[in-house]
Amino acid sequence: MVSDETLVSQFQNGNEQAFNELVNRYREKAYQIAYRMVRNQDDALDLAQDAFVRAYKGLRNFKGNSKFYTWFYRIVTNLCINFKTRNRFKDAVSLDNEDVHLPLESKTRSPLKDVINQELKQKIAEAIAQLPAQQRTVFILRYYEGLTHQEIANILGKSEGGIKANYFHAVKKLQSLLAAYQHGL
Amino acid sequence: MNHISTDDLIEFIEETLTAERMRVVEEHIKTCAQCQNALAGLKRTFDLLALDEVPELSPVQLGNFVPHIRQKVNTEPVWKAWLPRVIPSVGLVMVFLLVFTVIIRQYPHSLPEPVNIATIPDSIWESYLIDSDVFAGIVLDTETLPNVLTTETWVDTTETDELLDNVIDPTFVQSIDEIEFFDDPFATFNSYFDDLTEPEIKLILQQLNQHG
Repeated sequence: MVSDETLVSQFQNGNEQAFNELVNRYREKAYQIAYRMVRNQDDALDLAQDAFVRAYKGLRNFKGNSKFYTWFYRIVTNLCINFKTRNRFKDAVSLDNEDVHLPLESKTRSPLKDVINQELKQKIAEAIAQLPAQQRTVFILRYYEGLTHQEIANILGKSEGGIKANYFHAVKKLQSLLAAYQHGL
Repeated sequence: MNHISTDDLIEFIEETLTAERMRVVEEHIKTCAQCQNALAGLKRTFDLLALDEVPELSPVQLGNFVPHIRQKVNTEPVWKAWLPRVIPSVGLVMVFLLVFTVIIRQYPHSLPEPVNIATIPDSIWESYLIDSDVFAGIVLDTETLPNVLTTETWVDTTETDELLDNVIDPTFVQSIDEIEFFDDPFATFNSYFDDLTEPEIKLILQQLNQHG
């Protein structure tokens, strides 16, 4: 597989197709991060696409001092944090209306179990939403995207120790917020 | 017995501790009920969090992904691309101006103590009046000048300039309450009154007296 660095270099030399390849490579990751940050599918899709638009415009000046995905994930997270900041009021009043995704297998479950499952997902979404912006970002990148603390530190421009502390705080806070639901598993 | 910290338990679950630390934690947990409970609690939290799923993108959404980006790239106005670069510069300039204004406004307080005009000897007033052409014919009676008309009661030269520009507006003279510094009242009187007519000068003095 062609490396990101090669694709970036090809794009910088005028190969537009190389950019499309980068999009196809990272579109789902970008969307997943955005969704977990904003909890709305349409907004997440828009933000993921906007991140690529930013990348397209900035990539010609990309020096390659960091890895492409580090640079790109920074764009995604910054866009999402800005979006959340802009929509703080909306978030406060409409969390109940945000997307709560039910897995396909729930169709075969009992209605009662579906309701419990849906409520549980809502509570998890609310708990994650209650984390401070940086803790939430770190937690999503670490737990759901499986990035290392060092990679997250590079993306957010912070120290690895600081990122670890953020992650541990986030886990402890989530444990406390979800304590009432742990026995329902 | 030292228990295992929550941070270490999280890293133990994620298997990111060093091999040696992993072994120590593992050995400890075997014999410590408290740490076993703490570990189980953390694992339940992670199991709960794993239930959170992201709705998958449909084939149509995936198919439109690149075209939508291309469309956005081609239709986004130029100013929108430049805005993020311009905003920090504008912000910096505004902060600089704000700091500059604050410093400038505070600066007069560090200047020498004001001088009360009433304490100026008559001989100096007289010599000023005699040497000054603009005051020819006007009797500037120091007794009638308000004692409050001190160097402290004058604004800087810019405001003095405005005072002269607004000589016909009596309310403007009230602003001399804000006057904080006037380096050399005689010289500046002279300098600013040079271009005024006699009635205008009379009016200023009259208003100053009224204000006092």
